[in-house]
Amino acid sequence: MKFESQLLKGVAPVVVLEILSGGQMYGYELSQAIEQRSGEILTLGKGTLYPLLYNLEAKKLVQGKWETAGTGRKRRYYSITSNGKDELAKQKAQLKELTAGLNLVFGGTIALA
Amino acid sequence: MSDIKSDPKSLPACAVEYVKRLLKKMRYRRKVRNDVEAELIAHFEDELKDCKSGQEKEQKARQLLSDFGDLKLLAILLRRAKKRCRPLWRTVIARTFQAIGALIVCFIFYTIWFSFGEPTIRVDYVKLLNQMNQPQVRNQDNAWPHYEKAIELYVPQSPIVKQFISYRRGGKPREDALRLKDLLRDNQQQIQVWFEKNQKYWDNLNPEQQSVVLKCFEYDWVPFPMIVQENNNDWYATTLNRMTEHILRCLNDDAELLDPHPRGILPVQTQPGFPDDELKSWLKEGKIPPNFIQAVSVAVLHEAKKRFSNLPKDFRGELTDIELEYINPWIRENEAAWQEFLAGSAKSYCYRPYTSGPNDESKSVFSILLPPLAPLRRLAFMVDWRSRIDRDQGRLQQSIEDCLAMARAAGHWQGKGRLVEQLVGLGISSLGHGEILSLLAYRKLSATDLKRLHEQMSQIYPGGYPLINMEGERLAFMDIVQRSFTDGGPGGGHLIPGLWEDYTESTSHDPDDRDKRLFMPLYTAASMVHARRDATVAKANEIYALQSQLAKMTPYQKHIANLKTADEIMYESWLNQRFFLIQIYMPATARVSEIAYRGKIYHEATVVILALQRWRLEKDQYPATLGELVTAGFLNELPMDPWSDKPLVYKKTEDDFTLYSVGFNFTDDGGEYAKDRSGNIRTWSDNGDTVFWPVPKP
Repeated sequence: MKFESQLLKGVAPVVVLEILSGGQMYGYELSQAIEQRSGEILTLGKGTLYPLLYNLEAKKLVQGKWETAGTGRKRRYYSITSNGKDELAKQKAQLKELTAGLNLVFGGTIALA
Repeated sequence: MSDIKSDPKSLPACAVEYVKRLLKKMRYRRKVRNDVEAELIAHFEDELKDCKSGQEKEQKARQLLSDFGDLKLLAILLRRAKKRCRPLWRTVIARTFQAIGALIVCFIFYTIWFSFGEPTIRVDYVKLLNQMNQPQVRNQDNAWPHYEKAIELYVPQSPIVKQFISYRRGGKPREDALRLKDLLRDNQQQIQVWFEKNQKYWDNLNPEQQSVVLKCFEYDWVPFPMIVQENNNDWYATTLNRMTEHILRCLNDDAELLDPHPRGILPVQTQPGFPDDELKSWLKEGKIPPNFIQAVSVAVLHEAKKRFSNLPKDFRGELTDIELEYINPWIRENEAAWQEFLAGSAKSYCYRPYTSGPNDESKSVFSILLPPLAPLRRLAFMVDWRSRIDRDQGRLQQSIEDCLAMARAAGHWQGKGRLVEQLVGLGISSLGHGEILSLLAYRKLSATDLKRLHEQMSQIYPGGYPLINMEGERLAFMDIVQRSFTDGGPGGGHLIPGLWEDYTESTSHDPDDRDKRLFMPLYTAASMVHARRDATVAKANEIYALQSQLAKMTPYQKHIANLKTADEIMYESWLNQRFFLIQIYMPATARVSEIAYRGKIYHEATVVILALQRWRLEKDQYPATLGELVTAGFLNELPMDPWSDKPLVYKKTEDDFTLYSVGFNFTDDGGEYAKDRSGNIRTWSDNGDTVFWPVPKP
């Protein structure tokens, strides 16, 4: 499904942080994970993914470092920082509130785990 | 920052090309671009790892590229994101360099704008200066045409006259002459023996040859041939003083008289009237008399005895016969010039319009032609010597007339115009007054002569003795501002590089001059630092007003108030370096004003001494106080000493009196003469008093 870019832009950082909260990943893995975990509803364009990761890194929410992957190749792994975890919790709480509000508007048809 | 090198060989060409172009457009630091490249290449490798064939890889790669989206936009987003990642210190450095770069660009534009400014000439300051100086009286009362004619008629001193005058004045020529005088006295016997032994060589020279040698002496040169090689012979010369010392040294050491040491000799140089042609012909024709150096030595010793044996002991003392023999003809040659000078001095004012030079297009005050002040000084100097000769030959009325002419002429140049003219006026005034005091000291004047001299001296400055007038200098500076600053803009205008330094004479006025081009960046920087036009004009007006105010204050008033001079004020703060144009052109008025006060008190003291002499002739004794002179109408008021702000100190002695100023040290030393470091009496020095009477005699 194609989302409005502004809508996706707002949730993309939370999605990335949520996925990275499960463990460190490099760019390709992350894009695959987003697709899988969202049942292929959410897909981040590659042109969006890397600028987003660098921005999160600049905000010190994630940290990137080069490591050798299982394939023996060098990959840049991103992991969530403690700041990132705090930010994720905050964003999730806000999304929860937002969902509750939207549920009231739309008659309880929107839910957030 | 990791230093990961990517290996894109296994990727399709389109992917490699995409990454390459992306990184190029990203325009960021190489290390960061390498990092991003490695990460993107790794992403492509991961995406394409399951492709079986090259064609499939190529197809999927193209799909991926479209997924990455617009290359330019992505490059911008990556660049922004990476810039946000950099640490604060890097950001600070980057911003600093950016700011410096921006400043440099702005500075370059500013410099270009600054350098191409042009001045606007609005005010004709030369005209203003002329209007200021031109009195509203008839043209026939103007002294300048007479002075101009006198300058034309003036006959310069011959070298020998210059020599005799130089022996009278202080400095090295007089010191040398005094030393030779002593040497000649101490070696009288040896000289006599030398004459007896060598006179025959001089007598061997024919009259024409003797006359050539003596002519050389008039130029203060003693010639001798230097025979080095057969074809390289020439005449050399040394001064009469050096040759005399050389001969006397040989006499003392009982050594053979050889040519003087090469250090003290020069090749004979061509001078107007010098007999170098005759000397050369002797050499060419082999006519140099035998024992020439011995022959010349006899003539040198005779000439030295003539010149130095009766050397006068002081500057103003009576003239010797030998001085009269040489100086008197020069004075007589200047009779016509003297007549014009005298006629000029009798006029009520002197006005010569300032004009620009024939090749000067700027018409600035700075480049106006000043009156020919050096010839004017030479004229006054001639009149001074004329006065001495008249005095020593008993023509006292003539001598009085000479002194009065000098004093009157001095007044024509004082208190107006440019500072240099006023200083020349002060110098001539000092000559005239000095000669009057010498006349009174060395000769007894009749009551009639004294009365005439006293009355005329009292009337020379009807408006009071003129002090220094700064207006001419202020106008000159304002003209420089007008010609060196732009007109309008921030601060009223800025100093234009390449214009103001023309007036400093430190560089040539030629715009192509190498030095000027070399220093142009420095001039530009200096011009940028200089205050703007409005501030400069305000500061200059403030400083010139202060100078005018200080010039009116007596040295004692300034001493008591402990006031700073304008120079001190300008240099006390480094911030005033912004007004370096004022610092460059500001005259040293503290000194000039003091010289004016010296002239003032010298004049007033002279008038008082004349009044005292008249009183003495009438009443056969001097008055007890100067107040008696005022009461009796001999003086209008008591002369105030500028170094004490009290009347000049007058003390009646047994048969004479003492009149003095407390002088530069502001302290009454009881009338003790001021002296220089060598112990010689000086009118002005930082010790003792400035004693006007009695005139010190040797």
